Amino acid sequence: MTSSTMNINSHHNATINYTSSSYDTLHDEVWKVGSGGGGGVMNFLIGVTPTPHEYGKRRIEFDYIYIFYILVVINILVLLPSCTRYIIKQSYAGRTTRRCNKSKKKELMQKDDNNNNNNNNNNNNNNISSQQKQQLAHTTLLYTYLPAYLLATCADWLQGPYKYALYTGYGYTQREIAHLFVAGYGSGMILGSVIGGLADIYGRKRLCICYCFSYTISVLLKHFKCYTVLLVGRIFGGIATSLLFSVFDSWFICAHGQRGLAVTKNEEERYIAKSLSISTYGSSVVAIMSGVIANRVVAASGTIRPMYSSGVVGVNDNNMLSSHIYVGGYISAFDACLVPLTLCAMMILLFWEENYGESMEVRKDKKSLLSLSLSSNSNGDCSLQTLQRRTTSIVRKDSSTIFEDDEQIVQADDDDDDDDDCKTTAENSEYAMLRTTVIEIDQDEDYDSTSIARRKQQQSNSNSGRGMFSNLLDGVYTVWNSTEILICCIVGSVFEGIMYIFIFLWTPTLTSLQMKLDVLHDISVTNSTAIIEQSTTTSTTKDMHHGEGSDLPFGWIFSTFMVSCMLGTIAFSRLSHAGISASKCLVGVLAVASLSCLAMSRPLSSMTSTSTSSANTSQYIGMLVYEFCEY
Amino acid sequence: MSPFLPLQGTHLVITTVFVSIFMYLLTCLHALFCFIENYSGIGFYYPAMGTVKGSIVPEGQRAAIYNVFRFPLNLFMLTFLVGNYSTETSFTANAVLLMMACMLQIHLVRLGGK
Repeated sequence: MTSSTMNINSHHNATINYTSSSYDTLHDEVWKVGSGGGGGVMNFLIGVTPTPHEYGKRRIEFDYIYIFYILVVINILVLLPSCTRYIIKQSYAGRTTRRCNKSKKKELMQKDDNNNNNNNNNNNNNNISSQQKQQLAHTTLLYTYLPAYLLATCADWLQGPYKYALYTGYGYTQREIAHLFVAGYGSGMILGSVIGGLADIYGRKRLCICYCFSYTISVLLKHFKCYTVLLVGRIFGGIATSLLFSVFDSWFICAHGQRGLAVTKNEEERYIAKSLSISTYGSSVVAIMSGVIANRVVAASGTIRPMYSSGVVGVNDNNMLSSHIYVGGYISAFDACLVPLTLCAMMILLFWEENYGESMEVRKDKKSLLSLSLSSNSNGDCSLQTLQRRTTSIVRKDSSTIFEDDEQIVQADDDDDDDDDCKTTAENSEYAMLRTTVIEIDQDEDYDSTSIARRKQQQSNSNSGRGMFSNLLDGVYTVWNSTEILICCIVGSVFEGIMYIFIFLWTPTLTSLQMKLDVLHDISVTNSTAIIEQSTTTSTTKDMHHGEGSDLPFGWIFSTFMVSCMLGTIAFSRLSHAGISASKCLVGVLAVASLSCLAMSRPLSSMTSTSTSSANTSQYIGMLVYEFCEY
Repeated sequence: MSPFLPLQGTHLVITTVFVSIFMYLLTCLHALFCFIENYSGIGFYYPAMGTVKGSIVPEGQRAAIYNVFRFPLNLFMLTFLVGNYSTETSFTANAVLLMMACMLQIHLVRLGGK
């Protein structure tokens, strides 16, 4: 092994040290508050009242727990008005189904204009019902999507904290574990992208099931104490993570269009923002809950042990299976994942409809259309016919999927007669738009035999399966050519990458900070004379726990983070409801995040006394307020 | 611009003042609050970015492009894992990167406005 690779490996070691400390302490200390003595959710939420002699020891915990509760209260307070509004609206809608309130009327006006432009002769009555139908369709879409998606995220959250602990439990060195993690990211980067790129052709529903499948394989392979098998499992895990964050989203957004929620662009964006806020909020809740569940499962299942060791006491190394399959301990957290994964796969199979991106053929058609429009000869009639044929085929394909949806809606609603009408008006408008573009293109168009030959050649290329990479490469091409998408890509990967870095860093950061604060606290305690009695008790308990730094309640801190995550989501849904576009919101978030990052980098190096810390904070708050005002 | 904007602005300022008072009271847990701040940013980010992506990315290649988005992200993570930077360095670098991202986002808003 060369020196450079050795160097890299040592880097791995050092980096994984963070995670080791975090995950070990996660296992040992996390949820200690909640599940001490096999307590569950209730203990997790109660059981915080301090007893006098324990006060010094657990003081820090209380600080964190109080913050958690304060955030929860804020969360509930913020959520309360909209909840009551929703309930009132529901009861109102139950009483008078046909009446619509002011905001609806406004939207109706917009829609009316839209319909008039597209030469559709729907009367007002139909519009009202179509508006209600849209909301109904949105609700049914949420009911279809959310359970499956939340189960999928639940599976991810259940095993997340125990990955490192499991590998340590198998007795692998840190270098080997680092290799496993790198393999996970690498496979997510390469294999995950390639497989996810296939979703547009082979169907996104199928790839979502593929997520469940590959995660199941990954989980099952965790039972084997064999490095190669674990490596393969990790690779599958990487693929699964990559699929979770790309294919589910794309199915969801595409389904909005399919279910007729995309009449105007603004409306579509509004609906998408709403649904995504709800799903993010839900996944935060699921994260907290699955943390509690995973902890209980692991605590209940005892230690990690070989599967058949209890019966056979003697050495049985020759039998490969019995010596390599392990159960119990951290593995049970992974086993617990199988339940949500199976449920998720079943729900997807039963309730989701398949949706594709444009198939290769259609895209090729579009490309040839573009090339045709660029060339200048005029031979209009023939091309008009073919284009009309193509558009009608597209519309027919859409309508077939929409009719399937209608059948679902029929079950939920009474008067579904004019539903088809509104859907078809949407289609008609689309068709009309397509026709106008056709006519525009018509004026300077060329439809000669060479282009047909070229397209046939391209189709044959795509049919022969030019490779799994072709779709992905097309994606790269599109991203590179469009400035907007490229910027979106950069911003997204920067922010999400930094998020993952936070997940790595928060434990060591808070631990080191807490140790510094402990030292400061000791000094201040010895200086103060008023609370001598308390200081003696605290100092004795401090001596017992000094230097460990692991008595931070990581479970509580994690929950606090998740609750603040929910707050952020609520803030977004409010802003988007008020009509501020999402990309403008993102500017503010990025600015605030970078400022808080900057603030975080400073106290770590320069925090030698509380006064500088407070000065830093006030400075930071000033900056924050300034930023908000400016925004 | 929506007519709600000034209203929202005052709303935001008020909430910020409350939050900052709250933060000032608990100065000793300064870093924790930065983290909380960031996590609420994450909660804000996901639906917002999802919406932006939903409107920008063409429907036909959505899944493929989302996966293209994940490629630099994984590369970024690998760089971080291999690089073994100190905590201060990585936070400063994060701040700088986020600033750049913010600039780019402003550019994107301007592009969308045209």
